[in-house]
Parts: sequence; structure tokens; C-alpha cells
Amino acid sequence: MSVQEKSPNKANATKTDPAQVSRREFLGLTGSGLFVFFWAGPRRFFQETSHPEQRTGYPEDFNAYLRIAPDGRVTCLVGKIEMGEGVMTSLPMMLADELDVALDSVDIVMGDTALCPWDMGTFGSLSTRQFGQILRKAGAEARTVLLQMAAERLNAPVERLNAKDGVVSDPSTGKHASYGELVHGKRIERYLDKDKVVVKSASALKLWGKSPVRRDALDKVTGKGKFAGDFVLPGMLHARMLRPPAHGATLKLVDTSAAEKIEGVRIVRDGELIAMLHAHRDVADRAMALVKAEYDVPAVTVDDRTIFDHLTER
Amino acid sequence: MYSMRRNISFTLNGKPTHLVANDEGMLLWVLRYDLGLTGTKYGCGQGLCGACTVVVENEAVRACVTTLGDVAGKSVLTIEGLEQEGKLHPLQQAFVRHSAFQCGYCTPGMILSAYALLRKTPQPTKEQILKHMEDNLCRCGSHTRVVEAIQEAAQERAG
Repeated sequence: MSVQEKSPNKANATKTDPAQVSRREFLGLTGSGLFVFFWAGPRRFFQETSHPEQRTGYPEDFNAYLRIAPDGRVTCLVGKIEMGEGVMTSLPMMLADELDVALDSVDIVMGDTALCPWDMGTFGSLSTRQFGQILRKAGAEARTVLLQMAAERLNAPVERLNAKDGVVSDPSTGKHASYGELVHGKRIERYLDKDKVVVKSASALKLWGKSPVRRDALDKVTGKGKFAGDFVLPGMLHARMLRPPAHGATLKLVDTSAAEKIEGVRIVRDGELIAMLHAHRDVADRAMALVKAEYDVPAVTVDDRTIFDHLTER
Repeated sequence: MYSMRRNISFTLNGKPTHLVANDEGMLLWVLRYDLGLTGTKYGCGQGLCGACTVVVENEAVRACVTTLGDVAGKSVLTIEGLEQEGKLHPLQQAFVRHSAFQCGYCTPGMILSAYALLRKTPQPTKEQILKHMEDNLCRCGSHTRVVEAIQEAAQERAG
């Protein structure tokens, strides 16, 4: 599925030599607001990669972040992806609960390689049970910072303030300030120390346990959502490979003359590697069905009685 | 062998559609490549999984094994044609309410299979739904929610 946001910096980020780009430019991390940077997942994997040159341009001190912008919108950028597990809906819910903002003011950009920091991958329920917990802490950290800023602006002790729907208010004076107003014209950066932040108790969460409409629902029930196989690039062809009938078989004779007569079919041949190509996948299939191939198939020397000896000999 | 191209007409999502194409071309690829309608998904290519289900003359058919010649002169409905005046079809609405999907790849086929069922059997029993939807596979495992969504959409129409 496509991500929700497009960055104006994207073109710049991709055409520049990554080695020459600072991480702020690489991630399009400019502008004002409150930023909370954090690590979600074992940093070890990243640091131990056998090709350090591949890390060029990637930040090494965080791999996800969130931003509270002057317009009050909250954006989380992370390398995890939505693939049906529902995290593009549930992660914003977790963040909105910790931050005390409306769910629809939270955006999440997932897996956009031009925008999102490096991530180890999306598997093993880690998006929810690992990343989700750290995201909550990042939200709690942001909320703490915003409440401190509000205390200064409203001239009131933090303990007296309430936060709701992205607005901090002082019940005793009636004064209030929105998150957007608080960060306007400022640039505040925090690096999450996840061991020092406490998240809300389950009873204080409002969205937790609810089932709002999934953010991918409309795209999926209308067929508008684009899956990888739905993209067609100019001049793109589909290939069907000629496969030998058995391991070790050698091609003795091949006749592609019938397939060649199909309009638009292109044949690629490199030794025994033969493929039928066509703009339409089904025509490539049909072309391959017309290929006559004869193979020399080696005599089978292994059976179910000798297989274990065969394997241990190797 | 591959036959010559000819003029083929059919009704697609309520609109007359004319193509110069081969009879043998599979409807799935005509929809996806020639007409740019990628809501109809390629799953198995052998009519076994239901991801490519479309409705032809009120019958659910598998577009990957239905040729263009098969639909000449007929009426074809794809997922793109289900909304009416910008409003989701009751089945689509029920699928949204029930989150009757995960990855969503089988969803268009599921919805169109259910659409064909409700055309013929407006108030199906659960057993009829299960039987009709038997060959629409969901690798994520959303079947229970799919059945609930279909039941609710059918009840709405009765109510």
C-alpha cells in the first residue's frame, strides 16, 4: 500500500550523493516543531552489518522519530510497514493516547525509503509489541516536554495543567495553549531515554481496546490500493522461464518457433537459460506452453532408502 | 495458435467498452493491463483462489480463466464499478465496519463473490454463504469477519 505523505524534499534527497548528505537533509528533517528521536529494535544488528558502507547517510543514533508541527499535526516516521496487520491504524492510536491528541491529527509514514530511517524489518509482531511500546514512550516524552513549555507560557505549575485533544489548559485560570502554538517558531529536539519514561496506565487510555475504522479500509474495499504487482512501468515485460524437469537435466533440443509467431513476444536466450517475455503475463505463459524442449535427464541414483547416506556423504 | 485481433465489445461497470483484441486473451489481464483496472487481482492464475473474481451477468467468475471472447456482448462488473454516485456499496461498507480483511489482496474478489450471491439469494443462510465463499481463499485468515460482513449486508437490505 502506498504511504500517506509525500515529502517536498524527496526529489532532493534521492538525487544527491548520500555520502555528502547530512542525516537531516537525508530525512528531510528541517523546519520547526518538537522532534523526538528514538531507537526501536536491537541497535546491534545495524552496527554489526558486514557492509558498513551501506549505512552511509543513515543516522546511527535513532531509527524512528516523531514530530509535532506548528499546525498541531503529529507525524511518526518509521521503517516498519503495513502489510495487513493493521499497524498504520493501531500505532497512531497508541501515540494519540499517550500524547492526548485526537486520533485524526496523527499521521504515520511507514517504510518510505526516502523519508524513514533504517529499520531491521517488519516481522514477529515486533511492530506492536516492541516498536509500539517505544513509540508510546516517545509520545509520553513529547507530552512531558509540551506540558513543561505550557507551564512556562501559562505561568502555572505543571501539576495543575490538563492536556486534551492537543490543547493544554489551566482549569483555575481558563488559560490554554495548543501543542501547535507551543512549538511555533521553535525547534526542540529530544532523544528518548526509554528507561526514564513512564507511559500511562492502561486505565488512563481512551483509544486502547477500541476498533476505529482501519486507515487502509477504503483503499482495500474499493480496489484502489496498489500492491507491488499492480505497478506497471513503461516498457515493462513479464518473463516466463523454461525450467528443466529435474535437477542436473541438460537441454538437448529446443524449438521456440511457434512461440516466436505470437505478436509481441520476445525471447531471451543465454545458454540453457531461456525466457519468454511479453507485456501481458498470460501471453508470456502461452508462449512458454508452445516451447518444445527435450532434456537429457540423469538417472536417479538416490531413493528413499539411500537418501540419508547420500546427504551425509555430501 | 493465437487468433487474429478483432473488435470486441462488452459492458464494463455500466459503460460500453470496445477493444481490438484477441478472443483468447484472459479478461484478468485485459482489465489490468489494457484498461488499467488493477482492483481485480492476480492470485493463482488457474481459477482456484478467487482473488480475480468479477461478476459477469450476475455470475461470479474467475477473470484469470475467463477469456475476452467469453464476455463479448455481456455485462462485466469489477470492484471499481461497485460504488454508486460516490457511495460505497452496502457490502463494501460492511467489510469496512467489520475490518473483513487484513492485507486486502483477496478483498475485491471476496466482495464480488458475495455480490453475486446476494443477487441470487438476497437472504442467504450462513451455510449458503460458507458454501458460496468456499473457493475464495484468504491467506491472512479473515474468513470469519468476511462471513459476518456478508450476513450484515444481507440483513441491511432486508431491513
